[in-house]
Amino acid sequence: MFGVVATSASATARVPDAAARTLVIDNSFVLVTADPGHMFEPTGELVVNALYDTLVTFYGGNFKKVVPDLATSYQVLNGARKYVFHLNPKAKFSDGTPVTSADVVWSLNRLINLKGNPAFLLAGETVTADGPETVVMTSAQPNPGLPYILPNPATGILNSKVVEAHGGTDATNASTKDTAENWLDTTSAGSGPYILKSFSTTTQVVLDANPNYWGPPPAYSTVVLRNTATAAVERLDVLRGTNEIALDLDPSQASGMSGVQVLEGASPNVFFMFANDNSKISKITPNHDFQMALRYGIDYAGLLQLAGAGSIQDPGIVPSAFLGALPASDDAKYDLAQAKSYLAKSGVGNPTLNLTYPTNLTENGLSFDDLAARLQQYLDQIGITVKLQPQSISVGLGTYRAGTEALGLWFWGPDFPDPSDYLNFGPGALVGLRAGWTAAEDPTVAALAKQAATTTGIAARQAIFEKFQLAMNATGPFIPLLQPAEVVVGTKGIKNLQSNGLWLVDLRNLG
Amino acid sequence: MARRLGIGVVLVIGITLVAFILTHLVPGDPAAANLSQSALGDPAIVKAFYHEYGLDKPVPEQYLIYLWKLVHLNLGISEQSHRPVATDLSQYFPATMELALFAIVVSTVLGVGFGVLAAVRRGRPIDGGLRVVSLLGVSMPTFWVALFVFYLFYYRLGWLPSGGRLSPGLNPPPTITGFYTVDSLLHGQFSLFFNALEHLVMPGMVLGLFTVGTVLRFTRASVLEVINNDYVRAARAKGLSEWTVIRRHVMRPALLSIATVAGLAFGNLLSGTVLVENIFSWPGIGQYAYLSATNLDLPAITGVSIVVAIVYIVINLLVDLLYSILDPRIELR
Repeated sequence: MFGVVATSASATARVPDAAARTLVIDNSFVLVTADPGHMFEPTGELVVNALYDTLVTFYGGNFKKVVPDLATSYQVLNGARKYVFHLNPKAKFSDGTPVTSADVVWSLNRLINLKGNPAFLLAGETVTADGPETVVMTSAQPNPGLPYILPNPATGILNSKVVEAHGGTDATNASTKDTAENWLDTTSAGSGPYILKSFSTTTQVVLDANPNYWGPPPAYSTVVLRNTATAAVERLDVLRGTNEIALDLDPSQASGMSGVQVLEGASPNVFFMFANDNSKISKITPNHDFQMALRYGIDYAGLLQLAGAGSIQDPGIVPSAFLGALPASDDAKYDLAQAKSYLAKSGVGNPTLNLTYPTNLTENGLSFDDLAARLQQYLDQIGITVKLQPQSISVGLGTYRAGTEALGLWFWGPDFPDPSDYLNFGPGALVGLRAGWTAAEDPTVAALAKQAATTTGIAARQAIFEKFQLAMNATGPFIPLLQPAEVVVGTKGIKNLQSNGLWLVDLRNLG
Repeated sequence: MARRLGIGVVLVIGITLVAFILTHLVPGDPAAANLSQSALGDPAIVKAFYHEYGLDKPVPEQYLIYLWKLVHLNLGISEQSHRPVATDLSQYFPATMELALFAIVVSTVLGVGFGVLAAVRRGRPIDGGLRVVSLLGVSMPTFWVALFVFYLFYYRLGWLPSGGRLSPGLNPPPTITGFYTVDSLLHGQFSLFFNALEHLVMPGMVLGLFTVGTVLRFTRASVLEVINNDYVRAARAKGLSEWTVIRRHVMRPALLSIATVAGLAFGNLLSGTVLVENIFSWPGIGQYAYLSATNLDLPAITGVSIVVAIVYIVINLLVDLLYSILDPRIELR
């Protein structure tokens, strides 16, 4: 089934060859660069994860357990203000030189100082070496989520000497002086199972197995990622067996496919709605009873039907696969009578409100236009007239960020799979303020958020984040709706195919 | 000619101004379109982004800087790809041109051939059949035709390959023209040439279908206009073969309007590539333009606008030149 790519003119251009196994993956590219310091796009995560090791990582799609990568172990000290990582002495770069603490310090400082898209991941962290195999990370504030942040491929470790020779720098002025990005788009300098053979943001990325890889050799000698802009084409490619994996099908496209593996699970993307708490934006939406009417007036089962098989209702803002997620028993319940009762109690009458959302945007096969139309229909049933205000994503993000939307429909994709990423939704925080929710207005939830940010220990963090979300649901302006399905389709011959909400599919552990 | 070129330069500058103004009128924020949500919450990252792309300067100053760079053939750095816009365009533009030229050549040849045939056999079944082909060509939605063709020729029959410019894993030939078919031939890579050629067939066919229909209609009408003229009858009366009559006495005057239609069709082909490029994963300028617009990537939007404007200007110039060749009475000023 797998083979090298033939150069003949035949339509089926692949010739089986067991010795040189080639894996072809269809993906609608969202790709800018293969430089870990600048990369923060879905396809980039997939590519960089295969090229660069991180200190710790996740196995398959399990985000609740951090497993060793370059670091065999780590210690959490001083209330999660200090982490000590012990490097695996066997680790070596693709040129055969060992991975040292100096490389780790250089790579992470470069990431911070480049001030690129992923720089916020390590905001407030200081990275130092304590001997050739020990790395120390310290922060003024406790950072209990750090082990869950570090698997992000953007924190991949580069061969510092090689990258420096090609214009890289970790100096504080790296944002203007580092010129290595273009070179890193042609050659990789990591210790991951693959090396970069060719890179194009428009056509394909080709990865070859790293001959000096220090871990178990990867199952494929070559991986080709093809930019396929249409999911219907990906579907036919996999069904025909021309290409092995399709990453962009939605549940309806995947249904009924036979002779292939279909993995359907909940994506970590959370779709939510908010009713702005700022009375300058709307006199109606800050009303708590009105917000409760919204919460009860949505037919969540209907939304899931729209989103397709594999989607799930979201009881809280933290996705189900992450530490701190609420159990399904805390799902909001659709109750028409209760919704009408809250609306009557609110005293706002039968209001007409604008619902702003990004138009022509589809995430995990779920269209915001369709979702907004459904919400309009449901809220109409309880006496709220919703006027749809579709906006292009670049325009809509402006009003969303400015906090000027009365009703908003958006989604949040995780920056890293830790509940601390969702503290952004707290009162006075980044997204909270977009919904007009200030810390002064809700000091109880603000205090819970502050406590959650500093609590350490898995059980204690689970408990505090559950408490934080229940309090958010009780008094906050956000209504978590659902997590759409994430579908990965592969041909039968691929072993250990696992989807991953961060880097799409786990290339490292394919059999 | 010098006057025409001068007008062209003024047009290009005008287009940069329009693109600049329009992009700034859109109430969007390039940082919001290009940075992640959390990065947007970090003022240092946002500031670095604005500084890197010169967005922290007043708009008139940004425009003047842009023009100054343009004089030095520097189209700026794309906010979405982090590469020089000129580098991006040098990758995307040849892909679209290769596809569009393939489509225009094939469709014009077919359209003219079918049009002449329909006119010569006017009122006969073949004329009716070809008029149906023409109607289908101009009326069927491109995306539907594209998916149907893909399903039939790739999935069902397996005669043609999937999308893209080459099969997965194949390396493009070293760049000379950016046309994979031409570059592979120039390097003697014949298997690569055939691979690139067979990848051109489906998107070229779909893209050219509309043009076939249009050219067929115009050719038929133009030929019918002249086919019964006295000088054509006289040519026939002299005993010339029908083919000679058509070629020398009918086609010559008809070619003027066909050249106009083909020129216009080529412009339409370029704008029609967005859908076809998407369905056939063709990394062309249509995809780049779409991504640039949705990311408010000003340097890229302006770069694409300039290139498309130049293409239109050049096409019009070529059509005018063609006029003077086809009809020496027409003089190019």
